[in-house]
Parts: sequence; C-alpha cells; structure tokens
Amino acid sequence: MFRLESRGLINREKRLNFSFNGKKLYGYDGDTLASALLANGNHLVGRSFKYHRPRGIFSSGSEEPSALVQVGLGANTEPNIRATTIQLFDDLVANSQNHFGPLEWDFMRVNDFLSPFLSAGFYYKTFMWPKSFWEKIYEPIIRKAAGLGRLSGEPDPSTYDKGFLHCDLLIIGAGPSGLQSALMAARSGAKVIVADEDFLLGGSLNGDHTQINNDTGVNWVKKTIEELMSFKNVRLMPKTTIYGAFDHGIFGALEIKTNLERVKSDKPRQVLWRIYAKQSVLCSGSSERSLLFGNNDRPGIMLSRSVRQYCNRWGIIPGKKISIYTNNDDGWITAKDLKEAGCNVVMVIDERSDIVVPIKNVDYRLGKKVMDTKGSLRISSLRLDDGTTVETDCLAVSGGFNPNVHLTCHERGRPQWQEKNHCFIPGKIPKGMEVVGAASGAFDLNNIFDETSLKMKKILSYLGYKHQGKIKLTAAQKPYNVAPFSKSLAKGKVWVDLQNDVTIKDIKIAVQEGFHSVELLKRYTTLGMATDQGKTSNVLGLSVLSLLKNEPIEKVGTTIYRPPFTPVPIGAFAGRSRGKHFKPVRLTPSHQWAEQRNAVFVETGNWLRAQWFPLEGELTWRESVDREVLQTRESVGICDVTTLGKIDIKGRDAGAFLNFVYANNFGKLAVGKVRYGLMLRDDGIAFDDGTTARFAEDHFVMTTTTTNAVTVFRHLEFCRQCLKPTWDVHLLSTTDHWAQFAIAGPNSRALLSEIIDSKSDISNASFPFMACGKVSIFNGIEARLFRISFSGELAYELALPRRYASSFMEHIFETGKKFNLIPYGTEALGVMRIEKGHAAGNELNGQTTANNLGLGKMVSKLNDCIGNTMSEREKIDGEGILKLVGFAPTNKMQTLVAGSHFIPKGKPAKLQNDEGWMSSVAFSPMLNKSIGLGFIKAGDQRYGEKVDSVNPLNKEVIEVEITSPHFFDPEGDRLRG
Amino acid sequence: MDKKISPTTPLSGLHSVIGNVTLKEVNPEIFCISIPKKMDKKVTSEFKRILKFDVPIIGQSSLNKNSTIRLIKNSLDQFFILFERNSEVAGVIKSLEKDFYITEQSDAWVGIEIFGKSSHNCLERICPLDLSAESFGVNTAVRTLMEHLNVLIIKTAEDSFLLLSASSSANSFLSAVETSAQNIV
Amino acid sequence: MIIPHPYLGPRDACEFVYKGDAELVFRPERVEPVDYDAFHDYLYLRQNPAGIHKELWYHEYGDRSWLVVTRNTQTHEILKVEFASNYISKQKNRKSNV
Repeated sequence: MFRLESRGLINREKRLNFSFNGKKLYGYDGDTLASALLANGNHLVGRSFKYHRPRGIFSSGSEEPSALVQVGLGANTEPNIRATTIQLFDDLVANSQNHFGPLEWDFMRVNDFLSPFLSAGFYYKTFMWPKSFWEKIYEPIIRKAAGLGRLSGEPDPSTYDKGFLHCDLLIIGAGPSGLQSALMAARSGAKVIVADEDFLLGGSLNGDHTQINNDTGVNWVKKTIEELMSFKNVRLMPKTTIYGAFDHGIFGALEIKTNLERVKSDKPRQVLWRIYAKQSVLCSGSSERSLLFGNNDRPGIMLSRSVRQYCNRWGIIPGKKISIYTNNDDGWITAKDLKEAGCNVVMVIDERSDIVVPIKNVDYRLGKKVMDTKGSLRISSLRLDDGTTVETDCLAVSGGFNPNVHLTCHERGRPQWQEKNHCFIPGKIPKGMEVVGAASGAFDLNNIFDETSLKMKKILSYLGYKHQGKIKLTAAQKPYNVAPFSKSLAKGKVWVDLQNDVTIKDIKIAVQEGFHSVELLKRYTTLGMATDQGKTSNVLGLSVLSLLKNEPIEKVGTTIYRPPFTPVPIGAFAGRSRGKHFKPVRLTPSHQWAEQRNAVFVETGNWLRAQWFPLEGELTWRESVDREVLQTRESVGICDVTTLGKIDIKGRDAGAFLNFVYANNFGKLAVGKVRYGLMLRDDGIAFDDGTTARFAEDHFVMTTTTTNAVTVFRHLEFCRQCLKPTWDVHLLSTTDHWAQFAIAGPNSRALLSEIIDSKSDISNASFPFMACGKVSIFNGIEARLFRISFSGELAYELALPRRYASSFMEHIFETGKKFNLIPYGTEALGVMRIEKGHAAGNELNGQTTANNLGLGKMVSKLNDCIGNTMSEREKIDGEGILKLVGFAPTNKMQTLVAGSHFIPKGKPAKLQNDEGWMSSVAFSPMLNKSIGLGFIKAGDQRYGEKVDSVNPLNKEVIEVEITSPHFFDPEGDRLRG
Repeated sequence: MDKKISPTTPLSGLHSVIGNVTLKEVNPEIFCISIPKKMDKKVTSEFKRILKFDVPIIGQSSLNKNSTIRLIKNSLDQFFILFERNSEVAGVIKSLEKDFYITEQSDAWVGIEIFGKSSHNCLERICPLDLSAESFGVNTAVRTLMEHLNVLIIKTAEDSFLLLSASSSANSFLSAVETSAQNIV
Repeated sequence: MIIPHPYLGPRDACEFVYKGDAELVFRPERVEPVDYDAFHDYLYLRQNPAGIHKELWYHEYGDRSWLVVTRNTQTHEILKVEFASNYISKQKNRKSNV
C-alpha cells in the first residue's frame, strides 16, 4: 500500500471495494478513484489519444487531461470519466480506455514509433487519395485507433432532471475566498448559493497545511461550513459544477446527485440547474501548469500541487523516490509537506538560481532544467541539463498557476496578461460578476481575504444587504514568485497537450505552414480541443507560439473560452424529456371513450386523435375507413373535432377586426350565421382557414385548423395590439373549454332532435345551412350548434362544455342506435373532404395563395385586409398560375400517390416539364376509385385533359385526368337538405 | 327528453401524497372578464362596487372577505374570476356582464393544488419563476411555462400553490408535477 | 436572456416568442390608389443592426402582451421594454408633431 498511516481527510473506518481492469482493490470513503488508484501504487491508467503512449494520473482535479476511464458496466457504462473527480463508491468498476490488448502491452503503441509521421496535419495530408476511401476505410480505422471510451449502445437506464434556482448571490467555488464570501453574504441575510465541483467543500485548503486565525485551514473550513449550514438563506451545493455563464446573470450548473451508483437509485443521477443570480462571485481558484521538457508525459510525472494534495488530503505516498521540478515557490511547499509526511524527496530542481532555499535537509539544484526522462510504463529517471541523472519514480512539476478565468470569458470576455505572476487574469468581466482569490490572479491568502472582504461589502450593499459583524481572516504568509516562461524551446518529444497528443513539434509545423494565429493553431493541431479543453495545456501552447513567433504572449492572445467548463453529459441536457415526458400530449374529450372502442390514434401536433375505429373482423385500415365513410354518408356519423382552435372574439370593433384579419368580407355576416374565412399572410400566401360564427353584434367565435391554433392566436394578438391598438377587440382561446363534435349524415338532424331540448328549433327552415346558435341539450345543458359541413353531408357541429363530453358520448350512442350511428376518425374525415374538394393542411402548405386554392374571387378588393394588397401581385395573380383541381386515374384500378408530380403527356419526367404536384389522395368508397387533389398550371381551364402523375421515388407513372375538385355532390344538395 | 348527462373532471378527483408534497385536483369555476376600451378608467370603481373587494394589479390576485371569490389580473385588459363551484356568484357575473365582456373558461382548465413542506422544492424542477416569499408573495398569480405547458400559478398560502393548465393536457401536466415530487423525495 | 416585463418583472426569454424588427407595427394602410411599393417595403425591407435594435417580443407564456424591446444585439443588453401599444402611440404622436 502507498497510504500514510494517519494523514488525510478520509474515513479509514469505511473501506470501499472497487475494481480497475478487473483487479479487485479497495480505498476509503473520501477517496476519489484517482487517489484510491495511487494508494494501490497504480499510476498507469490509460493510453494517449494518438500515439498510445502510457499515461498516468496527472492532476487531482477537473483539469485532468490523462486519467480518463470507463466507469460502470453494460447499459450503465460511462466513458471518459476523470478518475480525479469521481468520488469512490462501493463496487465501482473502472476500466482503462484506448488500448488494444492489455493496458501494459497495447498493440497500438506502434503509433509512438511512427510518431515522426503522425504529427500535425498528417491526416489531412495523407488520406487524400483516393477520395472514396476516406469515408469507408481511412476514417473508421483512424477513429478506432484514436479514441476515448465507448458508449454502451443501449438506452441510458438512468434518469436526469432539470430545475431552476434563484439567488441574490451565486458563489462559484468554495475555497478560501468562496467560503469567506459565503459567510459574509449568509450573515447579511442575502439569498446565497455556494456551488463547488468537489464533493468536499474547502478547495485548496483541504490539500494544504495552512493556518487561518490560529486554526488549521481544514478546521476553519469545517467550522465555516457548519455555520453556513445553519442559515436558511444559504444553499450549499457540493458536486455542482457551474459550467457556463450566460446573459443577464444566468448560469448553467450540473449537480451530481447519486454519483455513478446508477443501478441503486431511481432518482435522477444528475440535475441540470439554471441558476438566476442577481450577482455572482467567481472564486474558481487556479490550475497549475506543467513545464516543457523531453518525454514529460510519462506516468509518475504529475503536477506538484496535486502531488501535495494527494499526500495531505488523501494520505498518499505518491512515490518511493520523489523529485520536484519547479520554477516557483509553490514547488518548495510540496517538497516541505512531502518531507513532513515522511516521503522520500530525492531532489528539488528549480529553474531559478537566485532564490533562498526555504527548507532544509533536501538535495536541490538551482538554475537547472530537466532535459529528458526515461521509463517504460512509469518514469524511472530524469536527466538535467548539466548531465546529472536522478533516479525517480514520481516527478512533481510546477510551472506556475493559471487563474481559472473561464467563466469570465463566456460572454466574449478576453483575459489579460499579468506580468507579475506570468499568467492570464480576467479581462472584461460579465455584468454582475466579481472575481476574487486566485481566479483573479491573487495568490497570497492574506491579500485574498482582505480583497474579498472589500468586494463583498460592495456587492452586499448593491444588493441592499448590510454586512453584519466582523470577519477578519489572517493566514500564514506564503510567498509566490514565479519565473517567466523559458526563452528557449525544449528539445526532444515534448508534450504540450497530454490529452490530444500535441507536442512542440506539432506547433512548429503549424507555424511553418502558416497556421500561426491562435485560433488556427488550435484547429490545425487540435491543441486544447480535447475533453479537458486544454486546462493544463493552452497557456503552455501559447508560450511556445510566442517563442516561435517572437512575440510577447499577450500579443499572441488566447482562443475563445466557451461553455461548458467541464463536459456535461447529453443525458443531463435532455433532462427528463424522454418517453412520455418528451412533449405534452393533448387528449380530446372523447379520448377515453374512443380508447374503449379500440380506436387507432394519430398525432396531430400535440393532440392524439382517433384515426379510425376498427370493428372486429376488419383486417385493414381501409376496410374500417371505407365503412365509416359509407355509413356516415348513408345515415349518420360522429367525429370529435375539439382539436380545431376556437377563439372567442368580442368587442365593439370585432366585426371590423374580422374583416381585417380575413381576406374575405365579414362585415355583413348576420348574427346567427357562420361563414368560411380564409386568412392570408401579408405577402398573400394562405395562412389558415376555418369558419367564424356570429353570436351577437359584438361576439364572434372563430375556428382555426388544429395545428395553427397557437400561431393564429399569436397573429391575431399582433393584429389587435400592434396594428389596430385603438380598436375594442378582445381575444380568448376557448379550445379546451368546448368539446366539439361533427355530426354528419342524412340522419344527423333526426339524431340531434332526439337530444335537443324542445325549445330549440333546428328545422331546415329556422336553422338552415350556415346557421349557428345557442341550444340546450339533454335537459338543460347549454351548447352551441353550427350548421356547417366539412364532409359535404347534412351536418352540424355541436359544442358543449368539456365536462359533459364523456357522458355525452355514452348517451348519444345510446340514442343513436336506431340510426346506426357510428364514430368516424380523422381518416374518414379526410376521405370525405377530398371527395368534396375542400382544401386542408396539405393544400395550405405555406406556398399557396388564395388564387392557387381557387378562392381568389373571395379576396376583398375594397377594404384593407391582411394579404389582399400583395395578392394582386402579377406573379400571384397572373396567367397560368397553379390551380387546385381534382385528379382521377384513367385506369380505376390504379392508386394515386400524394407528392407525385404532373408531367404533360409524352414529355420526359424532368424538372423543366414539371407542372405541379398532387397534394392529397384518398380512396373514395363513393366513387370506388382513387382520387386526388393537386395543383397544376391553369388547372381550372384543363378539365378533361390527361397528364402523367409521376412518382419520382419508384418511377411509377399513372395517367390521370384533370377534373373538378368537387368529386362528390358538386351541387351541394346534400348539405343543404 | 328525460336523459341527463353528467360532468367529469380532467383528473377524476386526484388526491395524492408524495413525500412532503400533496397534490389535489380542484375545479374552480373560471370566467374571463375583458375590459372594453373606454371602460379601463372605470374598472376599479365598477369592480369594487360589484365585487366589494380590491382590484389587484397585473400578476396579482385578491380575494373577497370569505375567500370564496378570487380575482386575478392577467393583463392590461383582462381578468380571471375564480370561485368554487356551487357558490352563489351567478348574480355577480350577471352584473359584470352589463359593462364587461364575460366568457366562461371553467372547462378549459385543470386545477392542481400543491401544498406541503416540499412543494417549493418540487416546483423548482419545472417552474422558471422565483417562488421565494420575497419575490412571490401570497396571492401572486402569473402565467409561465412549465414543461412546454402554459401554467397559471397562484400562491394561495406559504407552501401552497394553485396550478391551472390546459384541460386537454391535464395528464401530461400532472405527470410533470408528480415526477418532480418523486424526484425530490 | 432575461426580459424585464414592465409589470411582471424579470422573465426568462423562454416565456417569449420573437417576431423581429419593431417597424412591423407600422403597417401601411390600403387606400386608393394602392401604394404597392409601400407594402413591398413594409414586408421585405427590415433593419438588422449589429447594435441597438427595437424588436417585437410576444409574452406568450405570460400576459400575452406584445412588447417592444430595445436590445443591443451585440451584447444582449436590454435597454428598454415597453408595451407595443404605448410605443405605437408615442411614435405616432412624434410623427404627427414633425
């Protein structure tokens, strides 16, 4: 074991079993997978992306570029999990990624020997020829070789959720400055959310030996959290990553709820929060960067602060012979802590020569550089520029610290260069955000505490809260001086980006080939484009580019930082929106009734509608639909048409308003009458149609098509509020209030007479075609009756309050038995409207005008209405435009296909001969043949002409005759009967 | 005609308890009152005369003395009036009808009452609004978007809300609320 | 984005539906002789500035009001939100005063 006897914030009472590559191991509660692996002496955890080089654990946090593992089995498996961030749990199963054969003996390591050929741009240049090989051969092979983890290919059994949180102040990061901010805000009474990606709050304090106010840092963290937990106005959110900062103080947060113990919980595994914060404080700390030297990617080479944290927080012995390579004071703190813990520190190498060595009893070299390392699966030795060779199995490297500025840049902010600490610090910060602590480029705790206090006082007073009591924090002095980037390029195979295998050589090639702007360099070499988004590599890459271009690093600049800060699973973005939660379903008032009668349902928008009602013995849908049509036309049928949008229009100017929004005239519509209305867009294209009934001088009821109900309402509100703001018009959607049924067929009046209370007279004389009125049914239920017909039959639409719909269906079918009453679905409805030649959604497809639809004469020439002026454009109104007509196959046995195109007889089926298209087809049981509606040039003048209806998909050609669109009862005798 | 048809409710009288959240179907009568142009100056006085209680501002609601009638101001020129079924408000509606446009809306909505200690945490998962006491006081009544659905949310007491959504999607709406309650248990 | 509604306070943009340039509220009226060019310009010529822009937003999941939002399209900063009806009457007064 590589575990110290007593150190660390782990619960040694609670042993947790886990496995790595099948090997059974154990760790403790409080471990990450990485710390548990290191405790078992396991540095090698994977192979690199391109060259399949052995890779180890490099860091101890979310910046980890190398230690990506596959966690879980079967459908629960999840690839590319950073071993450094996942909290160890019992029975965790982890496997390494990206190797063929065993991890120690990967067959693809040959890529490493081929690396001279595999540098930047290699793929672009090599796999050019033959072109057809790319998709089928080269790409699959390259993808297989260069890869990360694997998906299970099965549906994810876990659930996810989303949510919304609101606060006065969002504190991002719970390190020293974050906790101090939280404490000040909590005591002031402000509503605070504290989010930190770690499962243990405290940030760097958990991994450092610090003194705060004469207490240890760790104790101060504990006490502070205890106090914070006592406040109702504080929400502590560990395991929560703020992954993006968006406009107006909106933040995206991913909260890990159940870690990866997927199988054990039916609760959401992760919750994606949208946090609305009036103000935010970014306390995201800093990430360490490496140094550039030959073979700096071997397992055992780690970031210095991480090595220290593994030792302090998790009680790990990172190696038997530890060496430290630093260019700043922080490396010496690692040396000191390791020595205190009893680890064997073989040498500290500092690039700086003019420093006072802060610790005793350690071998060190000043002003020296590491040149190269050796070792096969782990570092075994290093060589200095003076030729000294040092045997070592763990090299802690510190190249200085990069403030985690990411969230300050998500709204296009660009970081600035800070010469003093040789790092990028926040530039233009988003409105409402403050940055404190190491994230702002401050590295001394006392300074940080003082500055945080000042900034927090300002924020709290801006929010209208008063800072309460005194918080004075003092910490032990900790100097931080860092050397500038090296002035010469390191030699050998020097890794800049460990995850995407980008070396100094790749950057050189990119610059040679002209890709020397940072954005181009990034895309050509893939530097910083991996799942870690270059947290440990970007600034190093910029330093190399700055050397190669001989430009100061601030002039080289940075690439754009974009969300997410760390990867967010797609499952979390989807949240619960899968299965029945994907979108809401709207049910018609007769849904349950129809369900009990085995109706087949169809989705129309969000609605589920009965498509047909199969009877026992009916084997095909056509049998059912034909029967429904025939029986309705023979006697009477009923269809739920509730889904049509219903808009109540009231007001003194309601009549004028309808005259304005419809293309045809509504001004003279009498009370108690219904009229068909065609709605155009202002450019003359048909938008929607329906009927509107006038119940009173100042009260109309409009219907819209099912799918346009929402957009028509929106459009009418626009017309009302923006185009006619002085008119007295009021709109209300009543779609869901009224259950509406079409009752169609020669016996419809007789059937209605049975349910309508005696005082309502619906005889043909007093309630003729296109009449409407209030009636009472079933002993006093108030309903609305419209004598309108979509089917072409004697027909009514009856609207009654939704609450009675279920009972109504039971009763009317009881009553209707003597008329052989049947329910019919949307399919029969469609057949009957095509037989009648009524246009519907297929014809109002956003490309057709009133003229195309054969309704040109309806469009008002006199008054101003939406769409009439532009309808007069030549292209819309001219000769030879498309007209809606009917089509019937000359061979009655043939079946027409919607979407077919019309080609004149004897001409090839080519685009230039295309004369129009078939928009709707049906088998007409009345005519016993296939019929269709469609648009063809000057169709209304070509009745009797034969053309070819061509289906370009199967090349089928059917000869059709152009006819009137009114196939059935063209005189309309039935509906007036 | 001797037959009578009977009413049903969208959720058949749902009443369920999930953890610290109780869900209950309620079916208030709902009428929409639209204010004619030129009446907008007289609304407050007329309402006060007929209803005998104060008129709320947009996004708020007010109650009569016995808390049997709730008046919600939806927008510049529209109110909703909610009252329990069977209560004697027919007269009130009649009086309002003289000067205002009244449209019945009762059956357009499904009502779910949600209350209990965790109701706030439950709604957090679907409601984008800040429901904390400071910004969403009792009697606040606003429309918003929950799981693709238009919802009128009314805070009836601390930890107690009335949610109104379209009756046709009642089942989907209920399952959105139930799922939230289950997810936080 | 958050749109501060004149009465309902800050609301998430998900409650709104976007339409476009606020000039759309100034639709020409059809009077004889019909000015087809005016309709053409109304329909097809819009401003699309990189910077401050007046836009129409509809509070569909809210009070159903059409709003004129003055927004900087580069920074998304929202400078002003008003009811379309108020905006129209103000603009018309201004125009008639000129």
